[in-house]
Amino acid sequence: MLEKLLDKDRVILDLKSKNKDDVLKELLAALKLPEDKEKLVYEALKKRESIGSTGIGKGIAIPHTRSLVLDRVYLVVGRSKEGVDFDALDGKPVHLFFLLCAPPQDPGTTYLLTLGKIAHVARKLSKREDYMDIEDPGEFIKYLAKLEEEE
Amino acid sequence: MHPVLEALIALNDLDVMIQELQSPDYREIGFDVEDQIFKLEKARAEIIKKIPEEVLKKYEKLKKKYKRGIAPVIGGVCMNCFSLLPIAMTSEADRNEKLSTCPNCGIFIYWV
Repeated sequence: MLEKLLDKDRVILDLKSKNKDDVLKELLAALKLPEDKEKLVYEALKKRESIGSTGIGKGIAIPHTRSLVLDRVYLVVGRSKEGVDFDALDGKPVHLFFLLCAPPQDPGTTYLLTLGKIAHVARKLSKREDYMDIEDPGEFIKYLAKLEEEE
Repeated sequence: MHPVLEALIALNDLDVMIQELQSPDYREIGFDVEDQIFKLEKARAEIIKKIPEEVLKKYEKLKKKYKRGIAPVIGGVCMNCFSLLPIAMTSEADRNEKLSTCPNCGIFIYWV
């Protein structure tokens, strides 16, 4: 499921941002949306973060939202080697981000299923560190797909 | 984009979020935010200030009827009632620069 949603252009292995707002913007930029749409999705993401960080701990965050301006489900993966203060639950810097955005109509509830899948993969990732060493986006997608398939 | 249309989209995104955050499916994933939802109600009050009263009234009425007050138009089709919109509307260049409604179901529309 994650492999189908991901694209090499939406895997950023060297995020430049140093704070929460900038990292959301940098991840969102990978969607290549027109400015007015990007602004609305960004605002929705910020509102979601305002009620509790999606930084689930152990260096992983899953910012997510729905927005009417989107035409389909989008997934972006970003990695920061330095780590970003994302108000994570455990207070630790976040190194790996999964940005998930979807339209409200979303037939087949792909969004919630994907969100669940990401949370599942994130739990596995939280016990590993080898994802920090992968330097090729294609390889990173395969790594996530393998992890998703593993029981 | 028309500023009221932009506010209606933000309002819809927020309404969808508030509804979804309380759903068992969402909470099952592991995000527990229910006791913080009042913050989104505050954000909602701020967005509402940007919407004229009669538009907001209509949005709320539509929301009661269809569970949403605004719907996207994809490929010339209203995603609320699935009717094909007139070609005259589809071919307008500034479609999102004004506030429009679906001629069939009356819902506010946004051209994706």
